[in-house]
Amino acid sequence: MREGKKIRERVGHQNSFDVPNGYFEHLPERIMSVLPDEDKAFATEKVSLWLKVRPWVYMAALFVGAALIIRVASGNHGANDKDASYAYEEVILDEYLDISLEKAQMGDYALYVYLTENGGN
Amino acid sequence: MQSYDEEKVIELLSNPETVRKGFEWIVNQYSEQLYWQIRRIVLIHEDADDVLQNTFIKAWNYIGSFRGDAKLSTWLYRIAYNESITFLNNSKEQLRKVEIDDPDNLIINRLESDVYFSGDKIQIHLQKAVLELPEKQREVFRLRYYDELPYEDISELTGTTVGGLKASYHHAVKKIEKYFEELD
Repeated sequence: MREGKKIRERVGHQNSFDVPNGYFEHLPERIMSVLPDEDKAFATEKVSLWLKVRPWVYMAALFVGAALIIRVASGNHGANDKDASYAYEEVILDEYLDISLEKAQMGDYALYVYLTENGGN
Repeated sequence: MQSYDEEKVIELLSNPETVRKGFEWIVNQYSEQLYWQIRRIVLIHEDADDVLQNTFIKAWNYIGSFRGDAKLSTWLYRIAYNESITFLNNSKEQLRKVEIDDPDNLIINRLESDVYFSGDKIQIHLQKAVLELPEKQREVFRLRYYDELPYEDISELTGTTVGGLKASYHHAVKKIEKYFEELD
């Protein structure tokens, strides 16, 4: 650990951060006493797993459904392809948002928070 | 007294009936180590105590999602580090609201008057120098200089390559040495 040797020589080796007497002896007991009930330790996993998967399941279903509808309804695969695909994207996005809001039973704010949190990960 | 066995502890943690017993093991095993890692970030004993409790509460709430892909110590350290940085950012935000432009200076002032800090002026200057480092360099410096962890262990904790860590630590040390040279 040669790097930092100059700093140690200047500053010294002692630990200047102190703790109250007996702090570490009682620490584990104090921490255990503030923990919520056992069922809460596993509840977070169940809620977050379904909440994360649900929008993707709906989106997958929408893509499949919309792809089928467009394929059946559209007889022209030439010059209008670009417009069709643009409309397809718009339809998917709006429907996805509407169904997500309705089926997820999340309010607008909760969905916004969820989407921005996951978008930020 | 039984010695700590991480495999057995993970087994206890994965069962709702034994999760509390398993968690007690990790509190006993890691609370002191985590306290010091947190303390060196937030500096004040009372703040470190609060952050440590929040760390374990968060770890408890998410214990069901711990899969054993990483070591428990790594997982706990990440939670502790994130809680410490969140705490500091929230404190700085509160200080900025009351128009205190240099929150780091206020933290140093609090440290000087903290009853659980017995360092002299040079120790205070070291903390000031560390606060001037970018956050990533600060993290590497703390883990290498104070905890004396091997680079491989630091790499596991931070997700940074060993080469990157060596470069980070080198730059951090140079900056702190320069700080002291300019002090003289």
